[in-house]
Amino acid sequence: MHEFQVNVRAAIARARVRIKGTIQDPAWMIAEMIIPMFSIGGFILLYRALGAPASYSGFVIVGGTMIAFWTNVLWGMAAQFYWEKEVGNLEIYFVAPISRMAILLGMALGSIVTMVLRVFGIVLFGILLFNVSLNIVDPIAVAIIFTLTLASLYSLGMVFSSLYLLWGREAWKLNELLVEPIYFLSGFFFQIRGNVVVPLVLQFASSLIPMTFGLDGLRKVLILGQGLQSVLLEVSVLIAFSIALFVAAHYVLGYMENLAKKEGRLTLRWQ
Amino acid sequence: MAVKSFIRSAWYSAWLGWKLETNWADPLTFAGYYLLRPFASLLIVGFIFVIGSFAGGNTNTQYFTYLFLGQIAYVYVLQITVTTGYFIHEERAKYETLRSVYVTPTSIRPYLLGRALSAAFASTVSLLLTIVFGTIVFSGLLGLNLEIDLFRINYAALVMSLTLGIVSLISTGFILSGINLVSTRLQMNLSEYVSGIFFLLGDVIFPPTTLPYPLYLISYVLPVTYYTRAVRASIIDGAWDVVIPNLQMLLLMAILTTIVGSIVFAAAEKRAKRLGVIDRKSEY
Repeated sequence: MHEFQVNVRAAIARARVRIKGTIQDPAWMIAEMIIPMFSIGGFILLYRALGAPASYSGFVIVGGTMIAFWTNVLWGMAAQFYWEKEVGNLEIYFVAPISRMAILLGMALGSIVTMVLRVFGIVLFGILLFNVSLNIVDPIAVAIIFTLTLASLYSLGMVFSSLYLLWGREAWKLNELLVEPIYFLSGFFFQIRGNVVVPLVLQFASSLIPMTFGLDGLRKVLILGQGLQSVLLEVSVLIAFSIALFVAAHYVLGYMENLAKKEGRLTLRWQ
Repeated sequence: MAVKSFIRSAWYSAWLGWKLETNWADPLTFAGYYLLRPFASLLIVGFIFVIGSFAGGNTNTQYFTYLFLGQIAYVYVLQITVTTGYFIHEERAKYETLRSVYVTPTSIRPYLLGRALSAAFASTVSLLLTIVFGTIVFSGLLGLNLEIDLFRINYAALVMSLTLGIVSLISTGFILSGINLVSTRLQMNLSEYVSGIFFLLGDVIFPPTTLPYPLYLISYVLPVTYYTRAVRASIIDGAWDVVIPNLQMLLLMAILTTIVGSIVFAAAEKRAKRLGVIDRKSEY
């Protein structure tokens, strides 16, 4: 069989495991919908207490839905090789005649399918509980921004996953560090780029994260009622991030795998 | 003798917990790690205040001080809840040491207590660093006047509030660990649920009475509500007549959660042993 076909089949098989595993465990699905609602609810009420316009509540909902994807990239993608190492599956992946990226791609595809269901749940909760209204005039723009944001995020997740081939707890702690600091820097709950209240140095730092552009674009097309023309910058930057990170993941995974083999840490548990 | 043995076990467990938390990094990296997460949370809330106030055309610095202190007090809540909520999974599935802990003479309780105490100590590091950097950013760089007077703080009341709050949170941790002993499905999410409820209803960033009826009534039975209020009252006002009502309620809650925590953990332990699920793993 052609190598490409083998890798496609491996990716589909890995995606199937992810989808089946998630559907078999509804507690996870429910948790991923409900947990973000606590902070989302808190921040919406805070904006309302401060007398901010209603669109700000919509910004919080958009950020809250993307939290589901970001945590999935961190714990379901980047950290996945750590779990596989801990339960003894990593060796099996490495002796199989498939690319590491096919496995990661399968994880990403499986996650996206289950995550989209959760996003609908969060948006529905937001509309029903907090009376937030969406203002979509260009569904194609929504689809483009959403797809590109996910492509860049999961490519970034592939880059991070390479760290787990070498590290244990250090990478785990790094993952933890990429939760609240990224929520802040990417502007999950408020616009960072172009906001006069936010210092320029923060705006510059936020521009280095693909999620920032994804959130900016989604806010425009989901809440502010803008079309594709107004998000051309975001689309261009997200395409560039996606390609660069996907290519980088290929090289970084190979490099870290070799390094881990040389140092004998590829299958080392409880690091 | 049994008490001495219990305390010694708890002490060594706290030391082990501290090593687990710290020995992966040099002190500077460790300090950065313990600063960044709570500091970022404070920045999120602080910037929502700044941006929301700017958009709403009104900046109430008194409310900002309220927010700032609520978020600072929440550092203990999050850290202790997450550590104790994740404890059973870590020992059972990650390190596979739960069986070994159970066959030691003092068994699991002092071990859990010690690990929770080390989380409380780590939270203190986070809290102090967050206060310093938070003050620098919001008061120094963004010009928001924090209405805190170091000479008016009631330090005795603050220490009492923190101590009673930590007791309540550790007892809550025993409840979470008890639930996780008999369940493998909730272990990754339970602490997130509980800390989320505490954040929303515990008077952290807005008074619970702004929530719809009857939702806000839940806040009256949460120890975190009285803990947050007692910490805030000790720092902002400092007068005993303002602090004491909150401290009394917090004391009552600490006693109640300790009793409930002990009962729930004992019942869960008994059930887990009867069902043979103490070391049951569940991963896919």
